[in-house]
Amino acid sequence: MADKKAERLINLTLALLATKRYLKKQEIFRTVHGYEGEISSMERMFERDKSDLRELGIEIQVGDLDPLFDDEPGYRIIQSNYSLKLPELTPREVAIFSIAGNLWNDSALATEAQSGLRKLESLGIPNSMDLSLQVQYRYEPPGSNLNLVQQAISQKRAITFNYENSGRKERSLNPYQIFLWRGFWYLLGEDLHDVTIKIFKFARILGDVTQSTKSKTYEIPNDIDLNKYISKYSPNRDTARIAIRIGEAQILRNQAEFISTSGDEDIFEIAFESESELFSKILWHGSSVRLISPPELVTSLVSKLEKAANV
Amino acid sequence: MSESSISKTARALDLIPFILEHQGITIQELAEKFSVSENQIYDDLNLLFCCGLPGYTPLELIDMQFEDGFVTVSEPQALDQPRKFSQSEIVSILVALDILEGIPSQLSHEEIPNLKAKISSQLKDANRPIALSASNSPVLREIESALRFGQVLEIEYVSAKSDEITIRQISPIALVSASSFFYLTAWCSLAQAERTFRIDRIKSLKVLDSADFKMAHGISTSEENSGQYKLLVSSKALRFMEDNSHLILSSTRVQAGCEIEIAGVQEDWLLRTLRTYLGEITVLAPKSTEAALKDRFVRTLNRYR
Repeated sequence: MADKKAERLINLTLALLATKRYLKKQEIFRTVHGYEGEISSMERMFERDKSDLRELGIEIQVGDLDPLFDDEPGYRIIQSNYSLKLPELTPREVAIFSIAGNLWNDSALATEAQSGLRKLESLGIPNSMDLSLQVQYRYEPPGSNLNLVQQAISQKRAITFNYENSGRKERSLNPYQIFLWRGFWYLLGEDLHDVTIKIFKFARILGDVTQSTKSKTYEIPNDIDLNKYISKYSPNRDTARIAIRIGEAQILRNQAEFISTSGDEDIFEIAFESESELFSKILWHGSSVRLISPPELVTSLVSKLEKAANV
Repeated sequence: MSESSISKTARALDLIPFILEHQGITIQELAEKFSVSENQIYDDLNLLFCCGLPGYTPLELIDMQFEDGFVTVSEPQALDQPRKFSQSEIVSILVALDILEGIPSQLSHEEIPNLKAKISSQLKDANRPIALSASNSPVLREIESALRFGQVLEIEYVSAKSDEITIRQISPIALVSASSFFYLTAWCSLAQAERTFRIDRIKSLKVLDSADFKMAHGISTSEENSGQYKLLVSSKALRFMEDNSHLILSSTRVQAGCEIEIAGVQEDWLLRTLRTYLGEITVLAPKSTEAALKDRFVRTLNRYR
């Protein structure tokens, strides 16, 4: 089935790219294939088409205001704004680019990287094929919040979201920097509640992030040392008490702090980040380990075990 | 739902310069390259075939040939050059390059920063997302080169189940970076099977002469790993599939999540892992494994009674 709209968008792009001078709207309506109907409907069509092309990153230049002709502007796409210009890349750099483009397996980032890669391949620079990557990189696929927050950072808008944590749930902050660390996405930002710069984990943001309607409400300090905040960042703010049978679950013993021995069990304290992480850690060792506290987590674990065991 | 005209337009605009650089490419290759069906590519080409410059006489139309399945563009009109990168394309490449910088590879240390600088010239907003480097330990670098050259290694490994240190001869198969750790999948002479090792538990490592290794350990599948399991993974436990994609033989989406078949694992490992998912993954077959999992839940539960 023919797609009239896509056809018109392509024809418009071609016409505006090929012209050496600015084309008046009337000229476009008269000559570009796909514009038909009443003047007013063509006007609406053209406005929509312009904004659709802008969404594709195609910049339409407006210019050539001629005072003799009612100030009607003309339109064209400047070739150098349209096409890909890269500083000279070597075949080896093209190979590295292509390794990078293939790193994202399948996620939204992969779609973007692949389309970037295709454009690069359309430049006709040879790819030196002797490079390959031996490591597979696993990461948390970026959710829609990542885009929203990046947009907020670009426009310097404050954001609000609910955060899974033992403390305050609702957070408002000025977002500074998104980063991927050890396979997970994080956000550095200034918490507006206590005016402190902190790190937040995207995976612990509950639901959607909302952006403030006001833009340019803050500045990102340019002397931020991300590593300083990361070294202070400890997601493991809660501690659980567990009992491990003597001689069992050696790995868990290494991650926990010994408290005392009681009967045939050793008592340990272990830091954890979230309920699911703690449960997964201790359940790996099955009946070798018993959770003692916090009591609400014991209740939660027992009810989940009952459900799983179907008793 | 059909695709939006905008994304169709984007692909069509990108097809022409791509074909110009790859004249005679097949429809099938184009479909793979652009991750769409062959029919979609035919549609796109038919769409482009009708487009051109004002006037729209044969001289002004885009001209190409693709009837025989091989595509050539003879008149691209104004579309002879690829479009510039979108901001999100640049960001996805730059973050990937950050990651490449942090993992061992045969790339030299200046190469990636140089490329990043070149691509960054296209970036409008300097506050892009970044990726922080993973730890680039000497052990990792040796494993990377062992993978590249197909070398066999002897490692001292701290076992996950007990605190024992074992000496194993391994033939590396894949190195994976997941969350805080790097994992190595390798053929292990001690287990006579494929095993996964956590890099930070490798105490020491040396490269062996691979001929010796192959003589001593003819590659055979061990009994304990030959089992095949059918699981029902709920949508809350999809992480299991990501972490163990190399074990999955088949997967089918169902109402309750995903039905998958896996092979090449020890039953004890599987039961321990499934236990951590607290019923979000259930065993459909074999029945004995299903019963064993239930038994383990009951035994764990009994600790609280």
